[in-house]
This record gives sequence, C-alpha cells and structure tokens, in this order.
Amino acid sequence: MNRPVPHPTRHLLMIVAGFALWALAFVLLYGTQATGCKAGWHLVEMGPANLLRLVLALLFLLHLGAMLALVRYLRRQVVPMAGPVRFLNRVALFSAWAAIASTLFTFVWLFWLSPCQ
Amino acid sequence: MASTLALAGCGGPVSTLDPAGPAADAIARLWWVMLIGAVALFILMMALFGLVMLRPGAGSGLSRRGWILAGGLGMPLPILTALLIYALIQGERLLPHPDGGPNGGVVRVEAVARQFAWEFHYPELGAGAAGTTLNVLHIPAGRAVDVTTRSDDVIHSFWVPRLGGKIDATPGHSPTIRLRADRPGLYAGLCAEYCGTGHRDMGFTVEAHPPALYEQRLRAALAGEEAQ
Amino acid sequence: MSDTLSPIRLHKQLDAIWGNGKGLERLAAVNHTVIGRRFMITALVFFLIGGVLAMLIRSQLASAQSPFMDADLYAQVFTMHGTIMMFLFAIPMFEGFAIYLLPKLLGARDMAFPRLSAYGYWCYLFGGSMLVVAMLAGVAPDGGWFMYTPLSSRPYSPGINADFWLLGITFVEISALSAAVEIVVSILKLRAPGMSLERMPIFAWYMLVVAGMMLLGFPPLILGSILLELERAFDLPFFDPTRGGDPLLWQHLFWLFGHPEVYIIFLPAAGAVSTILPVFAGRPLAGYRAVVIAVIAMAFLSFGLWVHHMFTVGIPHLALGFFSAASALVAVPTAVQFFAWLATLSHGRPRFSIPMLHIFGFFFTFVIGGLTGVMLAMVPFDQQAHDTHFVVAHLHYVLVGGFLFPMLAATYYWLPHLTGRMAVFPLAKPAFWLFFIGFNLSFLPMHLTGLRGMPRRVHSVLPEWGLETLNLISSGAAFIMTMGVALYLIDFFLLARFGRIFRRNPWRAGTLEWAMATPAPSYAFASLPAVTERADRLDADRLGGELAAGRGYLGFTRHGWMETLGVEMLTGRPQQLILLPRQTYLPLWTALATGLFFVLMLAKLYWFTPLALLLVLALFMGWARQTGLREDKGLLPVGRGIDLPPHGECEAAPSPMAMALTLTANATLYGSLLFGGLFLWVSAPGWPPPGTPQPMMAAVGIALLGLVIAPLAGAQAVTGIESGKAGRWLWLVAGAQGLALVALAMLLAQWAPDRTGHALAAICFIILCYVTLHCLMGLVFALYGRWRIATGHVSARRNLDLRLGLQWQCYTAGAGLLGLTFIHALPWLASLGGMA
Repeated sequence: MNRPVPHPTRHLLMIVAGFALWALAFVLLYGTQATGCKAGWHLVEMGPANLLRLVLALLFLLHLGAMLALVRYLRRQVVPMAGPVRFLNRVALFSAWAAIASTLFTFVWLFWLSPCQ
Repeated sequence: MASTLALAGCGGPVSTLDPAGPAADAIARLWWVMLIGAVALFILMMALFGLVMLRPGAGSGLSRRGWILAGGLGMPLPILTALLIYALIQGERLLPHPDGGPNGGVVRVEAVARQFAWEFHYPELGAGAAGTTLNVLHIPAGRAVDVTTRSDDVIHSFWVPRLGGKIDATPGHSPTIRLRADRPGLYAGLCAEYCGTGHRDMGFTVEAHPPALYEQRLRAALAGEEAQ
Repeated sequence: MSDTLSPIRLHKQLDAIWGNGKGLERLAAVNHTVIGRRFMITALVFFLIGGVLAMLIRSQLASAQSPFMDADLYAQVFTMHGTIMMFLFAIPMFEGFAIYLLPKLLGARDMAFPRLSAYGYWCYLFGGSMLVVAMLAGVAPDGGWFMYTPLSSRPYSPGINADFWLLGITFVEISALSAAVEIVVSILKLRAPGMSLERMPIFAWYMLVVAGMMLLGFPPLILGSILLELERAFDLPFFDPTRGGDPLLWQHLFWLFGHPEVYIIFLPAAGAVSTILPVFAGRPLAGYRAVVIAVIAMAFLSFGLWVHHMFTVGIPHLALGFFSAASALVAVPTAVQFFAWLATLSHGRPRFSIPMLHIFGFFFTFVIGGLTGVMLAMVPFDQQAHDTHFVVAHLHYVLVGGFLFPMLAATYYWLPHLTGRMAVFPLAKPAFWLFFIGFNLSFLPMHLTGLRGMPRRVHSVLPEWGLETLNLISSGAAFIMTMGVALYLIDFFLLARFGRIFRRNPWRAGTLEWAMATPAPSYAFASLPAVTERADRLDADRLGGELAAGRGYLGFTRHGWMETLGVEMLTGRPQQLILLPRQTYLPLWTALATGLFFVLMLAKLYWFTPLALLLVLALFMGWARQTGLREDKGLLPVGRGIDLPPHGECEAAPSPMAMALTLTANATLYGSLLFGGLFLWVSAPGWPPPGTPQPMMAAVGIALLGLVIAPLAGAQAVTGIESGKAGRWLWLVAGAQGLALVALAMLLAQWAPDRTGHALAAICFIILCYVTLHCLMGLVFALYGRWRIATGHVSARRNLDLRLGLQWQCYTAGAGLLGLTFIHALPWLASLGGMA
C-alpha cells in the first residue's frame, strides 16, 4: 500500500541533526575554552581580542554555517506531500531552526564574557 | 496575620536578603526583580488556566497555533534574554578582576578549610607576621577582599551570606571570590557544601574593621592566636 | 486459523499461551502487563520508604529542640531519601508505567524483549533491596545522594556505606539501560500496522525521546560509579588530587547524568499529561508537531546545563555563561508544551475530573518550580542560593510538580485500566487537597528559609539563624501532606477492591489501550488493529469489539507461538512476524547471578567475581537456547490476507537495532572515559606525572592487527553462510581476538605497576582493560556464532546471530583503535602540559 522508503534511519536521525550540531558545538566550545585558558591563549593579544576568543568565534561560526547548510539540505529534500517522511522532514527542519536559535542564544556570549576568570 | 508578616521579614544573621556589601546587595536586587517577574508570570499562567477551564471557548479567538507561538516563543524569549543579559552583566561585575575595586587595591586572604574548621591566612601582611586565625576572618571594611579557598581533605564551601555568594573549597583547586563589607561589624559565615558530620558546626565569623585600624587589629589577633 | 473462532474460544487459546502461571510459576512471568505492574508496585513501596525518611528529616528540623538523630544517622537518612526517591522511585515508576502502557498504546502484544524487561525488574528489585538492607543494618550511604568525592572516597568514608551506593545503584541502572533499549526498539518496530510515525500517540514520542536520553545520560553515571568503586577498591586515583586525579571529574560525570535525569523524569509525566488532557478537553492535542519538536529540543538542551550545579566551584564566567543560557533556554520548550495544553483546552470543551484536578496541581506547582529554576540559572543568584534550602524547595517543586502530580493524574486515569474498576468513594478530592496544601505550605516557605541562609544537609537548626518558625511551618505542613498520601493509598485500595466494574473506555478516550478488556488480558489484543488515522482519535469502543472477535491481524494461534507484528519503522507497513519468548525463570536466575557479582564486590571477595560473571554469561547463553528457529519458514500468513516472514528471517529484525543502541550507550560510557582523561589533563593538579611507560610498539601492532582482522573475518562469515564457510571464518575471528588479547595482556602488564601512582596511568590502564574486555566478548561472540551454526540456528536467511557478532567486532575494532591511540596521545599531551 505504501511505497518503500529509502533510508528510513536517515530520515529519523535528521530530526536530531540540528541539535546534535548544537551539542557538538557545546562540547568543542567548552573544551576549547578550558584548554585555551590552560595553554594561555587568552594572553595572546590579537587586535581587539585575543587568540582564545578568535578560536572560539571561529568554532561558533563554523557550527552556525553547518546548521545553515543542514537547513538548506532539508529544504531541498524532495518529500511526498503527506505521510511520515514529510512529517519527519518538517520536524527536522523546524528542529534545525530551533537549534540555530539555541546556538545564538547559548554561545553568543563568547564575544563578551571573561574567558578565563 | 501579624505572625505571617513577621515571618516575611528578611533579616537574620545569615540572610542573603539583608545585604551588607555590594555583592550581596546586587544579588538581592536581582532576586527582587526576579521575584516580581515570577509572581506576575505565575499569576498570568494560573489566570490562563482558569480562563480556559472555566470559560470554555473564551480562548478560542486565538488559533491554536497562535497560542503556541505567542505563549511558547513570543513570551519567554524576550524575558529570558533580558534577564540573562542583566545577570551576566552583574556576574562580570562581581568577578575578581585584576584591576581591583574602588578605594585602592584589593586585600588578599586565604581560607583553608578542613573537617571541621576554617583557617585564614594573610599572605599580604608584611614580614614577621606569619600566622593564621582560626574560624575568624579579619578584613578591612569598605575595601574589596579576594578570598582564595583551599582544602586538604574534602570539599567545603566558603559562604558569608550577608556579603555575597559562595565559593567552594575543593582539594586541588584554589578559586577566588571577591567580597566587600560596607561597614565594620561581625558577619556570620557558614560551610555550604556537605562535608561530613561536623558540617553544621563549621561556621565562622568575618570581622570587618575600620580600614585605619585593620592592620593593627589583625596583628593583635594573630599574636593572640599565637599565644594560645 | 479460521475466521469463525468465537471471541471466548480465541481468548482461551491465546490465554493458554500468554497467561502466567500460578504460585511460584509467577516468577517466570515476562509479560509486559505483569512486569510493568511489578515495577510500579515496587516503586510505590520504595516511595513510601523514602516518604518515611522525609518525615524523619522534617521531624528532626521541626525546631532547634527536636533533634533525635545524631549527625551520622541524619546523613544516612537524607542520603537515602534522595537516593530512593530518584533511583528507586521516580525512574522505575515511569519505566514500569511505560512498559505497561506502550505496547497497549501502540497496538502490540508485548515489548520487543520481554525477558529483558523481567531481567531489568529483578535487577531493580535486588539492587534496591541491597540499599534498604544497608539502611536497616545502619550502614547506609551517608555522603549525600550525589556522593561527592573525596568525602565518598576511601580515606573519608572508610566503611562499606559508599560501596552500597555505588554497587547498588549500578545494579539498579542495569534496569534503566535495558528498559531504554527495549523502549526505543518497541516504539520503532512493534506497532499496529498502519501506525506510521506521525500517527503515533504523543506518549510514544515522549518515551522515544526519553529512552534515547537514558541511553546517553546513564552511562556517565555508571562510568563515574565504576571509577569511584575502582578507586575505593583498588586505589586507582581518578579523583585523588594528590595523585593527578580531580574531585571535579566526579561532579562533571555525576551531573552530566544528573541534570538530564530531571528531564528524563519529567518528560514521561509530561507525556502522560499530553495524553490525558486532550481526553478531558474533548479535543485532540494541539500542536502535535510542535510538541514533538519541543520534546526533542528539551532533551538536547537538558544535556547542556549540568554545570549549573557547579556555579560555585570556580569555573570561568564565559563557560558559566554557556550553561546559564542553556539553563534559561530550556524554559522555552517547556512553555511550548504548556501553551499547547492551554491551546487544547481553549479550543475544547473541558470537563473537570479527578485526573484534571491533578493536572491543575501539576500546573500550579510546576510553574513555580520552573520559575525558580530560571532564577537558579542566573549565575550570581545561584551563587547565593546554591546548596541552601532554596534549592531544596525548588527541586521538590520540580519533581513533585513535574512528576508526582502528573503521575497521580495518570494513576486516576489508568487505574481503571489496571483494575477494571472505577472509583465509587469520593476520597480522591480530599486526598488531593491535603497533599496539595500540605506540599505548598511545607515547601513554599522553604524558599525563604534558604534565602535567609539555611544550608542544605545541616543535621539540625541552629537557634542563632533565626529560622525556627519557618522550619516548624514546613515540618507541620509536611504531616498534612503525609495524611494526603495515606488517603491516596486508602483510595487506591478501595478502588481496586470495591470499585464499580465498567464495560469499556470510561473516559471516552481515542487511544488503543482502551480497545481491550480491562483488566488487560495477558495477550493484550486478541487480534491486532489496522490503524488508518492518528492513534489518539480512534473509536476504541467499536475497535475493541472487532479486535476481541479476532477480526484484526493475528486473530488466531499456531504452534503455541507468542506472536506479534513488526512494522517498517517510518510507515508502519507490516514487515515481519515477531515470535516472542515464552515464560522462563532465566531472567530471575541471571539477575541473581548478577546480584552475586555485586555481593562479592561488596564483600571484597574480588577474586571470585570473575566466576559470577562467567555464570551470568553462561545463563545468557541459556537465553539463546530458547530463541530462534531451526529451519527457514518463509512467508507465514498473519491474517487479513497478508504473509510475512518470521523476524529471524527479516533483514530489519529488532535485535540488530537493540545491539546498535546498546553499543551507543556503551560508546557514551567509553567517550566519557576518554573525555575524563582529557579533563584531568586540563584541570587536575599534579600533571604531568614524572614518567609514564612507553607502550611496546610490537604489542600495539599485534593488537591492532587482531582488532582489524576480527570484523573483516566476521563480515566474511555472514556472507559465507550459504557456501558453508561461515564456521571457518568465525574461527579466524576467534583467533584474531585471541591474538589481540595476548598483545593487550602484555600492554596491561606494562601499565599495571604504575596504575596506582598517577591518574594518567590509571586512565590508560582502564582504557586497556576496557578494550581487553571487549576483545574477550568478541571471542565469546565468535564462539557463540560457531555454536549456533552447529545447532542449526543459522542459515543464509537466519543470520541474526552472526550479524550481532559482527556489530560487536566492528565496535571493538573502533574502540580498540581509539584506545590504543589515546594511550599514546594522553602522555604526549601531558608532556606538553607545562607549555603555558
């Protein structure tokens, strides 16, 4: 009655892809912050900021970029008009947007707060 | 009714709502702001629940999607953002920045915790004044004091509620908190992290002296401890 | 197999297969209805024990004059209160609830792995009992329910108390992990035909997410417990700051579990609300999709806020900012759910009922707990409120509000399902009001108690704090709350004993669990429904009659098989005929053997523990003997004109997914261990150590060779079944693992002398132990596969046994490569340590 769906697991995993990137960003940013403080990157002046902040900012932007790419991928995915695949695609898409908003809300402070104190 | 009002009193020797220094004062203000906001939000939520339960159809003017977007995203996001920025600004101000506070440099002391007592060191005091005070921390009033904690046994936590937040004394680590007492006086301190059977009795006192008398009184206290 | 069976005959035939025995035979039950009920009743007993402890605490704190316990006894009491309520009440309660309910909501006859449910239950019962025995013997854990080191380390807790916690809780957590694996697989694979993912009842989405969280949340706690027990038993210094360990590592591991756990407890209860509330609103849940997204968001965010329990340890403000923001942000998906509920009510015709009264209690209480939660997320405020009674008040508002009230609503909603009876005595209302008023009177003033300076866990109130009146109010009100609990118990008893028997679907619900007789028959559904719309809008009354008459799928019996259907996980298209295992004592024996291992650990008889583990392994092999078919069956009719293969011949059988999930949890544990090593490098004092061994390159090379060959040969074995070469390839797998084991033994011998000297050596040693253990299991899997071929359980179509082994070999190879790299990388990083 239903056509077989290719890669069911992939469709399912996509609903957590956005937030998985958020979690990855969290681990990397927190780990880099701690490591950078230990290694003294915050003491290396780089223009208006320091090395640690630049590395953190780079990681932040990389993850935002990856999430935007995910949104683009999900929007371009060809899905049926109804049924589970469409449902999962919509959930994945809105979750990805929520993850982007969460990324901004959670990590934007790295441009401002004292990194090692 | 009168007793309820008396209960609502916020004073007390270890009350965070009776601040005696800028750190505790700022945090108490944050608390009152949050309390007002929380009460308003609580009333709103209960009113909405009452409305939809008791007046069926009254809320159906707003679409279901509208309810979820307005209440789930529209309401909390701006409130949380504003609160978070406020709290983070405050948190930055409370940090022990190296540039010190007003009224000259920062006084540095060390609080060494053990089961079940506090030992205070004064590394900045000039030569010949080595020594410690037990369960009494002497500080000058009106000046920023950086308390660095240490522990050689289990985790304790240094807390003088009327002066500011707490800082743990974890073996292997020595974090710092900045406090200031506005006026001379006695301030009660507590161990806030459970550290064993003597946890309750690990209280201590912070004695804030007039700045001019501080060094003299501290030396006298150290000499007194020595004599014991 | 004809359509002419009468409902009564069908019932008798099914019950003969599915029904549980009498007397001692009950111990062999594996049925989800029975196991779920046992979980819930046991959890209720533990709740009452925890409640008694709470009353002891409130009596002690009622006034400065009232203390009757000394500090040591009080420490045992508050530690056990927290431990019991969290680990022995809340988690097992919702596990039992989910095990009982999920198959019935999804239109299946049982969970995917009934024996695993039973095994999990026995582990929970025995592990929990160990803790209660410790308490009765006066040697209960006494370091607080989060067991901070070094207070819980050997020098400061020399007694057996802490070991009871570490071993008992780990024993209990086996049940949490097994339940998590089984819940995910059951939701994704064991549904009624036609129930595609977007037609699932919302509770299934909640539980799918919760089970996923459990798979990732519990391993850090289990790892932490293992490491701390290793430190206590064998002096490996993971948390000892004098030897390169760090007490903060424990805090990170504990709270990395501990905070998600709060949401793990909350979400099933919220799922119950999302199920019950629409029924009384007379309208399906608003924003089904928004709620699914909110639950996913909540699950992830809850993993990013554990450090808000550590705002006072001295972590830099930038990092605190991340955690503070995430802690605040989690309020948003909560609000989405609240407004979805409000929207549902606002567009419906709400009617008041006892479940709705408890949902009101939930709204009232949980909103307060949520608001104080946002307050505590703010760093400066937390630094004042942390470790005070403000936090005690907050966490009780969250847990009582977010778990107890919804679960009471669920109890009144589903107790008729469990008992087949409706309440006749109006006791629920007074019980609710006593409980509700008592709770709020007790815990609302406690916020102020905390802000006015009362720390947690002080064994009595000191008069000079000026907090006696507030504490007296809290204590007095707590007794009102207790009266409410007593009244609830009486009401439950009266309902179960004297309640009015009803015919079907008393609440006019649209979910499948009401489309069956109540109390539920052992087989749940006499035949399985075909679902054509969202499974909370069904006509349960009409459907119930049809299914009982056998007009759905599988409305017959054959060969005494326990049958249910497996579906394609997205579309719900029927895919396989799942043959479930019969009643057996093996889960009980296996849990007893597992318990033997923990008891031997407790008794410090370490040399005997491998024997217990061998016994466990042998018993698990016994499970396999009861599983699987010895011949290819091809397609079998399942009713309504459809033929399906048995699951053993289906590519998408449940067990490989279960193995993948188990390995995911396992990988989380391993990842936490590796991150623990990196954390110590960054954070712990006393790094780098004076000298570390250089791993023997020859041994590393041989180990790698063995690790890589094993999965390659394992893959050949799977494809080589047809040509009869599988057996030989499996010998190669076994040989490769044996080779790796020899090399790993050499490396272990090399690291062993240093393992107690410094945390770096201890971490590397444990990583090598982990890899060795996996190679050993890889060897077992190879031999197991060989045995299954010999007993005729394997064919080109029935290749599950070999595929499961292959999954294990692949994981072991990956973990081994990573581990062997890590024991090179960590000493190298440590040598860079002084660069700053």
